Amino acid sequence: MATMNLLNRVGAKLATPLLPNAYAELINPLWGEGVRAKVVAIEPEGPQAVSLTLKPNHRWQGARAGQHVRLGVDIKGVRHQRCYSLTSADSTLSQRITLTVQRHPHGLVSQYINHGLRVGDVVHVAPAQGEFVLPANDEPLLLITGGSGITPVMGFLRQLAEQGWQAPILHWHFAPNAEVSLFKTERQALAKAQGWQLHEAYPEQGDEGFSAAKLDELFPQWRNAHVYVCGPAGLANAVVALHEEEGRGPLVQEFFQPPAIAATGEGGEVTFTRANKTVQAPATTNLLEAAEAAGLTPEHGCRMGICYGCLTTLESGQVRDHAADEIIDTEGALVRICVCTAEGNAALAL
Amino acid sequence: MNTALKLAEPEITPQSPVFGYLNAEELEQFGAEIDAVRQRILSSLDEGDAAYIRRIIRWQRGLEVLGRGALFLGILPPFWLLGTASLSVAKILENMEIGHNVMHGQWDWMRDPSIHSSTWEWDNVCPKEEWKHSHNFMHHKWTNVVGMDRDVGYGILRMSEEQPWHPAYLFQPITNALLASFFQWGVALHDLETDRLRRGERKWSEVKDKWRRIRKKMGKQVLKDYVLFPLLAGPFFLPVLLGNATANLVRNLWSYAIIFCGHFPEGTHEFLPEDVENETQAHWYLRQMLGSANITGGPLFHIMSGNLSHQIEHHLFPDMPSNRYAEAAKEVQAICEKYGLPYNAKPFWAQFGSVMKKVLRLSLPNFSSRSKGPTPQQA
Repeated sequence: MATMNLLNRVGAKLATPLLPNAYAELINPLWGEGVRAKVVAIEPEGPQAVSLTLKPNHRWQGARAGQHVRLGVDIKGVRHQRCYSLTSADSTLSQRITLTVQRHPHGLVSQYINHGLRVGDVVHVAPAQGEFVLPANDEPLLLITGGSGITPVMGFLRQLAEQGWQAPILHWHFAPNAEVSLFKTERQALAKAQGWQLHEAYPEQGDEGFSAAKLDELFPQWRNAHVYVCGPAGLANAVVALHEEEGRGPLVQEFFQPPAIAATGEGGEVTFTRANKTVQAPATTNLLEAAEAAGLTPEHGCRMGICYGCLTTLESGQVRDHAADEIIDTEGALVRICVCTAEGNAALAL
Repeated sequence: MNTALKLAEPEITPQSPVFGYLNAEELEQFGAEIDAVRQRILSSLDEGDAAYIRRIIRWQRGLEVLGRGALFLGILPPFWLLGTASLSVAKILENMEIGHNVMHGQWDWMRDPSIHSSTWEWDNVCPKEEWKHSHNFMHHKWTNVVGMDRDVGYGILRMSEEQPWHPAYLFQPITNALLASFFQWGVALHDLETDRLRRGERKWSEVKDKWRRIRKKMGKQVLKDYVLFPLLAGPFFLPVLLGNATANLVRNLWSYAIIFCGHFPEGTHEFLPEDVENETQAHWYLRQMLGSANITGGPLFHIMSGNLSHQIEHHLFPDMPSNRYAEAAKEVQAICEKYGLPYNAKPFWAQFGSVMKKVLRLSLPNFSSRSKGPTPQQA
């Protein structure tokens, strides 16, 4: 260990201003900077989705079933990042992980992953995150999922089967129809082998929706169960409301769609999070001017978008970059505040 | 171009053409055409451009590994030559086509944090923060404005008739040769503005943090090239040390030559602070064009010059990926022809010879009232 540290330190001095991994990357792209993973398999998952199997590099710290990762892929030269739930069971250091991506008609990244990504490609992965994880002890579980909300729960099911869960489980899954119901065959086989209850409902085929009465009928002990819900807002809200009234166990919800932000095109409310100030910024005032008007002194240079001396982290919301003529809404993006205006609400790390 | 910038209109009347070339209306049209070139090219960036910079980076790192590896056998002259040459090319590529351009934000559109202006540190004793201030801001915004753009003479040379003469400038040919040989050190100290410190216009306390950062970077670079790699070679300490020193010298001389060809050849305009008061975007474009000069050459020459051979396009579009400057140059040249503007593009030796003549001439006081540039054509 001490030898490794010494080697790393000497390596860094030799490679300065880079790190040795910048050169290791020449031999194997997986040895480059950050957590990276190689796509080792891409398989169709029903008619509208694909499942990816990823082999992460040595920097991957593992993940618990139900957590999500931020996946970074380069599309037309630009890095795009999206969060996806892992569908694999608990994994440690160098174990493979899986995730499933459903195609959205206008989804740039989901379309790319379904059609453009190839086995052998290297993708960027951020460490796994999320509190949507199984309890430590075997206790009754109520799992309610809808559509692609099945993905984190698929990770649960694989983990539960591996562990041999010693408590009753009901999994109630909603999908438009049987054809697009993700992982149907595998879930049915697991439920049969493990003795879990699995209830599939297909509203397009006339099946009834979520209701308290149906839940009582399917799983009378649900009030004492640990409840997990992941699905469209309508379904999730109904489950949460019923649980608030009658549930006695904990409820964990996973969100898989970010809240929509209205783009007004007429400026907006800008929050400078470090200074803890919020101002109204019209579309004609750039963010640097808005910050200065609020008494801040952001670092900057040219005030015309060429020197990049004012790059600031966009923490949330969206801005319009007038020099590049584009809307930037990527959380964590670095923006030139001297040529950006608010486009709806935005928070900056100033 | 940009309503959000709210730049004030300068007082330009049709009777006083800007720098003798364009009236107010023509100037705005010219600005709009230059803007259109920028928008068209930036909106066409794609995976081909991303592949270009990644390929250059791979080549650069590969050449560096090859160079340093060959130098370990540097006791044998062919290996020493191969090693030194590879390392020289690697250092030139790293500083010019990669480092300089990445720090301009040319590749920020890829949103790859490892090739980004906010994180890139280059293989040079000048820290990224000092470089971005003295170069991206001071030089690119106030290009060739005597007294504002500190690259006009770097605070030690007299490169414009507008700079008052002093007997110390008699030694300019020597100072110039020293600057060329130790160019990276000059660049590193540049942002301290030592001439202004000496004159008391700037206090040491103001630059203490800068100096600490510069010293630290210098230490790291010296440790790598002049201590660790030579030590790693054991008995071949000396050939490695000499190879590294030579590669740094070659990079210094080359980057000096290319950079001096960018703004100092005969025919490039100089400006005075009053020229840039309340400057519009179009006016800035015109000034960048007039104050810069290109070097003609083949594709490999352009890459080895970090595409600063397209200095005019680089100054018009400092954040455009460098591999697109050749394409932009064709359009910019056509626009210049249309508006009757000079477009200064000559082979390396013509531009470099003209700069050296200027270095010699300006070491002496002004004998005649020379014009600042060529006689402007009346637009």
